[in-house]
Amino acid sequence: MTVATLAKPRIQQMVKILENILAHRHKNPTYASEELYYELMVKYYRRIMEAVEQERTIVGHTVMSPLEVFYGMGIVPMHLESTSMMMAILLGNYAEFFDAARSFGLTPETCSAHRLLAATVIQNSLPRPDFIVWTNQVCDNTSKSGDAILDLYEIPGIFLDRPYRYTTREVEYFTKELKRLVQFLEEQTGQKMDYDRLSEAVARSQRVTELYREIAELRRNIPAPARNRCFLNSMVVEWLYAGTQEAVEYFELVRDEIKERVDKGVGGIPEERFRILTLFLPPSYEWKLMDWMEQEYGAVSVMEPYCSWWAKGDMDPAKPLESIAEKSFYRSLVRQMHGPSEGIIEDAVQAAIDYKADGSIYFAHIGCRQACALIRSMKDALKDDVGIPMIALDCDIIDPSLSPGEEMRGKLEGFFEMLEDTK
Amino acid sequence: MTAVPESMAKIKDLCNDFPQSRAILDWKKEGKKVVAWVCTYVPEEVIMAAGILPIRMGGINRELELEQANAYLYINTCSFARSCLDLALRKQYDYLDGLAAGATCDGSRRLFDVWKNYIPTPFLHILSVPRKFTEDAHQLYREEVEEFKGHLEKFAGIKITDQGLKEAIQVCNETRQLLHQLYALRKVDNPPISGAEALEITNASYRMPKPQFNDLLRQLLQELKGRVALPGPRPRLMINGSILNNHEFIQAVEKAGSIVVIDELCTGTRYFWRLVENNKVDPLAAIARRYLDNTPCARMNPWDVRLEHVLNMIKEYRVQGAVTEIIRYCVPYAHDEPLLRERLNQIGVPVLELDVEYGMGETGQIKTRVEAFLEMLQGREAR
Repeated sequence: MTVATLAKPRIQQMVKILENILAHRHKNPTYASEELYYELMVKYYRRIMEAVEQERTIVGHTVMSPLEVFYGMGIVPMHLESTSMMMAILLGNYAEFFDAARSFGLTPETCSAHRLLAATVIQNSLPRPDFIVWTNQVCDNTSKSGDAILDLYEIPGIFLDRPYRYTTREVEYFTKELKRLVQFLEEQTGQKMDYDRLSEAVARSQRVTELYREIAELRRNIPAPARNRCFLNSMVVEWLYAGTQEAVEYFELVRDEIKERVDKGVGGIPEERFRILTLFLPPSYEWKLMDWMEQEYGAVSVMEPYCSWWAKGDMDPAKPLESIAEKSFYRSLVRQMHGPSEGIIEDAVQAAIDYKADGSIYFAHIGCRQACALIRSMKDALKDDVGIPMIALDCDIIDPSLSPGEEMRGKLEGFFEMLEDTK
Repeated sequence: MTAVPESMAKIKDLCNDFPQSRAILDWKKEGKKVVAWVCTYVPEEVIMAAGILPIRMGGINRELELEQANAYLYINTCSFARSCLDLALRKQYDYLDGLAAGATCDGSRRLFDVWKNYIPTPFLHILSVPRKFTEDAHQLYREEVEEFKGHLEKFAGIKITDQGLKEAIQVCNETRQLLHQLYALRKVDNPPISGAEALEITNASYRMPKPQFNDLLRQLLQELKGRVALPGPRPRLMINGSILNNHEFIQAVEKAGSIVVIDELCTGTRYFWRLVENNKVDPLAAIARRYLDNTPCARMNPWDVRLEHVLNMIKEYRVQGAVTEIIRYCVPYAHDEPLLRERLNQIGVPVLELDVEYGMGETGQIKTRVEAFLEMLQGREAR
């Protein structure tokens, strides 16, 4: 099976659209960090475009792959799920991509993010990477999607096996996997790993982790000092830029903005009415839902235990691979999604207490089995231990046809009214 | 269908109404413990060496609404996991002393998580199972099995000895060898056992004490001499894909005019295909190696090790067509499917893909699609 030569890479179109959004943002400024977010998006995809033009090595990788290693090697990473997702959002061609995935043979029950990825490969819409790196972080879909991509592109690849629990032996095993990755990258590129550069990337990653935690502390304040978009933008920046100076600067800016509001005693939105714990991810096609919650109901996301919470753990630049391996057991999203349920449930309960949440919204992405399987357990824990209600909102993380924004708004209206009554 | 041999009738009698089946309840009446395991990566020998009956966790052999389970496990969890939980919530597993799972796929590990939260069970253990076959993976898995052994010893209050492990290996290997003999009978033109019957037998192999099962299977092998299960000739099919316990599903495929001569299922060949090397100094290491190296689930990497097993069996069993059944939301097999279909088509083996729910038996849709598939196969043969 090979990739059809159906269309030219569409990344140029993506960059153009992102540049237009950025220009609009410059003309209509909100928060500086929101403008920087779009600058970083433009820069990320432009870098990939330039790498194609300059015939530089591009590594395609799945979510939570160790970016520091790629930056250490001086190769250009392309986040496969994010890139294909961003492409569908910006170009609006969901139907075309999902049809292609279906024709390929992927059932609708397969995660839409990975169907979309397979489709962008089949359609030759992504720049062709030189090789791919994929992992089992954060689910079975990520662990399996690499097989088809290798087959379609007929390129080399390496799979990284991150074990289930956070124990010494499992961290050691994953460290060996990363050593294998370095060997693979050296073989593919004919270059040696620059360990000084790798250590610098690790030091920057550590700095981002510290900033994440600093921001999390500041977010405990009432009124909540961050806008809902902030956590989404931050998550994407960390996914694409971990280990870079750009990430450090972005998170420093976010921290400074939030701190300034805390110091002034003002919130991220004018009038806070409901403090919400956000569980899992809102649909990528409907991030505006988070704006709507703020504007219409004064509902602000005070913490996101899946996406913004980093458990204990630090990186040591002197032990770069060991540190990167260990990070994958305490970092946000992976710890919660790819580990025993106690982790995420305890984190959520504690966050509900620490951040004084009034209620919780669980985005039940139909393709995400490991997140949705815990909805009842989470609902009971939040009710029994903290006494707050939770709404599970059926949706798909990518596919707007399953649950349109209007439908979700309708359900949320009822939830906020119920919260109002219980106040 | 020809008469059911006496030993097969006995096996069915002992395993009917699973999980409330006679073989298990008789064991419990003796005051002994039962631990259920989820996924073929959990080593049965270690449980047996602790004097405990290992049984494989299974769901209901019917496609049901799973109302109770749906309240606890979201509907996008595979119906196998929900079906198992549904039985537990209905107190059908009330005799269990323990549950041991492998963190092998999202469905398996989340079933374990939710079970832990809602089904009080004295012994609970989950093993971290690598997805690779490397020496590092073997070392990690060896340590996981060691930890599992220690946990079982504490729970059972006994020391699991090397001798005990070797004896358990011997019994389990005997089961595997007998099942190999049974499956080898399916290579001939008119096999003495149908695919549906073969699945009933393998189901029984992990739902009753193995020595008892081995005696009955030895008897069955004698009784099958000269038998023809289904009048032939018929198109020879392979079944592969997600977990399948309901033999009625295979029966439906065979009723349409085929015979299923082999499978690539975790409830079939993948359960017993490889033996544990029982001449090793360290029996625990031998067990761990066998379980990780066994014919792989779709979760394992690289995926073509699985493909190789499928291709070998197609050749060995002279398979003319393959039926792939994938339970909705069974992600590992769903991802393999386009690649597997292409490889099988390349060697001239057509594939019928069926999206199913766990427990499904014969349905009108399956019947229609299988009939059309068989017509196509027979048309090819006629050309």
